[in-house]
Amino acid sequence: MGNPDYNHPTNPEHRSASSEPTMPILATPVLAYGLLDLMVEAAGLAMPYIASIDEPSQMFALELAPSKASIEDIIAWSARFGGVLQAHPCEVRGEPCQHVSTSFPFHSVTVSVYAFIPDDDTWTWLEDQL
Amino acid sequence: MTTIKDTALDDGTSAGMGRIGCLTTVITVLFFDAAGLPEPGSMTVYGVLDGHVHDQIVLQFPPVAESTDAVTEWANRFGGVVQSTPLKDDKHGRTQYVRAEFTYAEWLSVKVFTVFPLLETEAIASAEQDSEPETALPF
Repeated sequence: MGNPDYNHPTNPEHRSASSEPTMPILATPVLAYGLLDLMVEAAGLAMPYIASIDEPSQMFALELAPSKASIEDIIAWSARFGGVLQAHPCEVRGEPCQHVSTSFPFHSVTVSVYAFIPDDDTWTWLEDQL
Repeated sequence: MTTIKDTALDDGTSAGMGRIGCLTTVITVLFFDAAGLPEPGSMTVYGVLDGHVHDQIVLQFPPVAESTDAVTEWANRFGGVVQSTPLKDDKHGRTQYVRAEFTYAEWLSVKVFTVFPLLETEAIASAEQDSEPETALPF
């Protein structure tokens, strides 16, 4: 009798890509402790004025102030936690602005740090950089 | 006498977490006190917006009728008044908005709520009770 074929689908030991172990869904109170942990690790960075926890998507959303200073604050978050900076035009209450954001994993949770910067402030910030 | 608010603000400030970090600290204590209650599906913390101190958290329960019990249980534990309002708008149709608000640790404003779609029969009954439903979602 040869060795069992662990790759055969009928073998109960068979593991397909879909049966890979995944992180359990964390409840909101547990995520609240995770958010506090994130705040501790982010000490010294600009803090959001709104912080949200979403259990279904296992996500933290941190919104910074709608001012050009937030662009550098988001860059600082990105530098500390390893996110990629993104920006795209959008509208908030009819006013054109840039949605500037970065996202990164924090343990098993996705963190999004973002701000809605009025277009005028965005261009002023870019001019300051040039 | 030192309050939870004083302790949280002192600890949070010295740890460099700012006001939102202080609030998050208190929220973990709130959840400890809420042990055994239904857990919300999402949570939002409001710190200082445009120079105005909000110090508020909003807990949202899943959009199902059973969440009414969850809101009621939180109100019973912490002393809030449950309010229920039918809503109607073009995007969501007829929904029921159930909420309760209370103050935690004599400081933090807590709002728990759910919004769930009304079945057609429930919507008719609700419409008969309230002929002028609110037209805008409150969130």
